Amino acid sequence: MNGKFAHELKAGDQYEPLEFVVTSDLNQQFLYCVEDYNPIYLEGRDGKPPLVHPVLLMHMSPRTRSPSYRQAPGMGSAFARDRSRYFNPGHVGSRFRVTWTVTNTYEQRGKIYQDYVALVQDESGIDILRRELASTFFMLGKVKTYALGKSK
Amino acid sequence: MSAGLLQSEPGHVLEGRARRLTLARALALSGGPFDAAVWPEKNLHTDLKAANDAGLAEIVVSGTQWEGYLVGFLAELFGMHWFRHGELDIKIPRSVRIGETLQPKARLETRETQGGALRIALSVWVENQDGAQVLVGTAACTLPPSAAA
Repeated sequence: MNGKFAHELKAGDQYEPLEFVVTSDLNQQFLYCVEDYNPIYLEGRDGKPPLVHPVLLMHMSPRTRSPSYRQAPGMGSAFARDRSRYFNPGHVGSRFRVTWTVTNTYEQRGKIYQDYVALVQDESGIDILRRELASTFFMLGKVKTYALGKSK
Repeated sequence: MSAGLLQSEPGHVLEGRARRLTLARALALSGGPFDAAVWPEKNLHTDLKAANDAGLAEIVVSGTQWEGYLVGFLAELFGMHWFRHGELDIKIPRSVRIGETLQPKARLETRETQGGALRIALSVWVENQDGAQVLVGTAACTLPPSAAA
């Protein structure tokens, strides 16, 4: 990404990947977040560990999780749309890698739009979750968006 | 796998569990790991000053929280098939405040056989205690022939 601010990236650019391990404690923290204690997330089956709750993988896959994500001063960003595809379950104890590739950028009504693909894979390189995310950048204090409640 | 998905007529609405979104659970989502050296991490989802610095009057709950309610509900409906063949396309039309009660819902739209597999398509949404939709979209899952039989 070469020190660029996030809104300066163009189609084909990538944010630096993130790797993380999902421990049982971390998975159960996210079960608490969403009050979802389905046994598949707590008990291993068929010799495999429990499943990672999807909300944890969703939380780790916006571009803001990238070590290289830099937002310009005075600028905000908001999520606009999420198209997700699930390919395989992720298991507790696994190391996951998230990569982000910008697929499109454009300006409309004073806002910069950036579309990108987030791909979550496990330590074997198996695809777990692919997200096509659309987002906007805007100058703080100038634009109200759906996600930001009352502007000051 | 929910029997309702296999036996109901299009138009049938399935409801997930309603949950009150508390500050403790919002902090658990956006505050970083509980065992971090400093917890919660300060950001516009967890800290009023950080939210004010970003031009917001109050902290903003991450939409991932109630998208997570919905995805957990879809995993209940489709079982393990969701983790291999789940598809979700959503937008979040409005924000949610701490204390709101949210419930994921799904309406069966189509159930189509394609080459022996069964593709089930839903309209999905999450609504608050007033019936206002805070997430809207579609979901689908393709069941392999062995499961569709």
